[in-house]
Amino acid sequence: MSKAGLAQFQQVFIEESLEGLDTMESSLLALDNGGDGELVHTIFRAAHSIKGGAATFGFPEMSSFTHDAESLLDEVRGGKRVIDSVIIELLLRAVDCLRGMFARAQAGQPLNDAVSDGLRAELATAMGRAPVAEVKARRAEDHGDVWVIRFRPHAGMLAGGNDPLRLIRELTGLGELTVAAELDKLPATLAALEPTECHLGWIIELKGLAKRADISAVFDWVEGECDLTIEAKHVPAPEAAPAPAAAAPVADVGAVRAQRESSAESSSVRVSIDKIDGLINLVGELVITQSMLDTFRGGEIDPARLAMLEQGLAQLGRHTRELQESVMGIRMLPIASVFNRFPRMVRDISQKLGKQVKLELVGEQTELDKTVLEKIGDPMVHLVRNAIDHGLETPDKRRASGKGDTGTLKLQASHRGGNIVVEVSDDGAGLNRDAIVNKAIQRGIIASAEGMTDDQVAELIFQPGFSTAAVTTDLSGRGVGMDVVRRNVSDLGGTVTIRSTQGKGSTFTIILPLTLAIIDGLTAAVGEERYIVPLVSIVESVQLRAEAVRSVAGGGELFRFRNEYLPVIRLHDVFNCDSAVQAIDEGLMVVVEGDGTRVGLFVDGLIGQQQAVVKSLEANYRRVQGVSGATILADGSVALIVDIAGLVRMQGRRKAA
Amino acid sequence: MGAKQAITQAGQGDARTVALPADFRLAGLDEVKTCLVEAFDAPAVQLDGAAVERVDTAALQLLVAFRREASARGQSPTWLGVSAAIHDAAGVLGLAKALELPAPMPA
Repeated sequence: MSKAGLAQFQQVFIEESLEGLDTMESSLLALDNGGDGELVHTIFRAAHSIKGGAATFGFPEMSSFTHDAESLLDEVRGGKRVIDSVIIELLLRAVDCLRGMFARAQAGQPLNDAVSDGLRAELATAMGRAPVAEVKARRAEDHGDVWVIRFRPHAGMLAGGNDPLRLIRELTGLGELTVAAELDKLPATLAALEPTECHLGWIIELKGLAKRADISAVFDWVEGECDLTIEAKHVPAPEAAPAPAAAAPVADVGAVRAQRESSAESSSVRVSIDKIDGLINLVGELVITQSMLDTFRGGEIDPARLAMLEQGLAQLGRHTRELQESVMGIRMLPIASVFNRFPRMVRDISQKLGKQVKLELVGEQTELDKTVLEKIGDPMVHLVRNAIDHGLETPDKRRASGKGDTGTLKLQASHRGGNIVVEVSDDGAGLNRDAIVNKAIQRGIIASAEGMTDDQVAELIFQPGFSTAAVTTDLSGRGVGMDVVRRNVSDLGGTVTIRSTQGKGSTFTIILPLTLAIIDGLTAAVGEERYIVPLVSIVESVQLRAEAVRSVAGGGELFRFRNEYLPVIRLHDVFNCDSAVQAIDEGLMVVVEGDGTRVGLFVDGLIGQQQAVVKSLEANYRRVQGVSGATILADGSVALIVDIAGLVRMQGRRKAA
Repeated sequence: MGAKQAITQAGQGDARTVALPADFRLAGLDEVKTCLVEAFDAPAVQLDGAAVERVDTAALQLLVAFRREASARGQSPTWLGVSAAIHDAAGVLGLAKALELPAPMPA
């Protein structure tokens, strides 16, 4: 097989294996919580596929590493060993380590590192097979050995799709090869040769550190399709091989996780056959409608057939809409892929902090756009960390406040209208109003908390550089705080809000658009231009009297809206539109919320609501402040989509300047 | 279809050239075999493997059988071109000598 072909399959193998590792991890965690024995089989199967695949696709280090983990699992499966939390912990670390290996495989780096060597030794010790030192000694002894492999495929092996070329190539990964082909069984005449039958045999000498198991693993898949003998031929050993590097302490979970997260954004998507079939169906319908409409081409339309034309156009509209939905559906994936990383994380963090946490996942099958899905992970990790670190209390404190020892952390996803709502809620201590107020005053964010509602106080934690943890832990409190969460979410066109009751817990609610490709917006007129204001950020629109808006020192304008004063952003000022309405009472004030701040957006008027297909301005032109993209209106003209959060930030800077 | 088929053509007097297909694997070997068997009738045969991109064990086995019968008939087929894929596969399978491959061209 050519190198390029193999690389293509390697990518698929890596993706599948990462899924397998996820399965192993979640099953291990379920076992840890007292799951049934079937889980062991699931874990074993996942490990076995990874091992087989790794050997096939040229990752012998990974294959032999997985082999060790698999042997341990095999003993558990065979009832020779009872699985306990020590083994689960060890296997979880092996899963992490394999993830690291895959990341290195993708980056083209050497697969083994100190962590994997150390873990292999631990796995061996756990097996009671041989402590580290002996493993090393045996490896050194192995070094002088030459393996002689006699390999004679049966005639039918080639037709079965197994190519000796691939198998022998795989052996090259295990050491230095000397290959001699045996031609004695070849028919004497070419005419007598059946090209699909194999008449060749090989005697292969393999020099190197390979173990018998590694070699036979290569031939695993052709068992019964060939005659195979593997013999060791002893050769006087040279100087002992250099001892492998001493096992380094197992890397911090965070480090491994960081590698994993960095490779999380992949560029392909797997689509279920059902969805594809649905699409093909729709395209079929579309073609039928089109050919029906084609009959109206040319000449005058018979008024009698006008109804048919109308019907055809209606059908076209319906099919187009359905097609749009189906195509969007292809990019939709269940949020489970994000949720699934949390059981492990919650377990690790709660153990570290000595807290008891029960994680509830609700609505894992809720689907959302792949792009949104990939970017929602980090903010959620942050919220979950915060909830365990700051929100949930230690068992002692919980008892003192009359709650059960175990805190509950709930992740919930659901569809609401055209949005997806993700909630992270805990039944912990809730936000501490006094601590937040003190901190905010100390940081100069507010002068005093007088007259501020609890919600307004809670809002303060989204301010940049805000962190109230008395002691900064390695989990949270590193200065990258809730402001980053809010920034990330608003980059996706979503919002984060918090609801908290002291002593009862907090709930963070993230509202996101289902897709980044289409937004619901209001078309606003400003002079000759049209702008799209995303519907999610609109609070209300009001018509104001001229005297309702007051100028303040420094050039800004404010107006009163439900007991608060909001700054005015005149869209025609920001985007330099000519001939726009200047007088406040002739235009319309659209109250919008972005980055947690409300502002009034002054426009000439609102034209109507529409779905806008977002075209990237960055990709086609360049990034423009205050604009998140562009769309094409029904009349063919281009309208810019207003980036509310960006406008708010611009306004903030203007104020500061 | 052109690339998949082995093409025999008369050229250089009576010498015959068998061009091996780019995808020189199990599925397409019957055609190549027919060409090779016919080629025994020509006084001299040249194998052109320059275009071969994919090759498997079955394909090399076919070439080995062809070489063996040719030498039994006192012929010595020559290589007109050998692609890297052939060199590589023959090296792995230990068949480079049996195929009398010319030394690989420096890259």
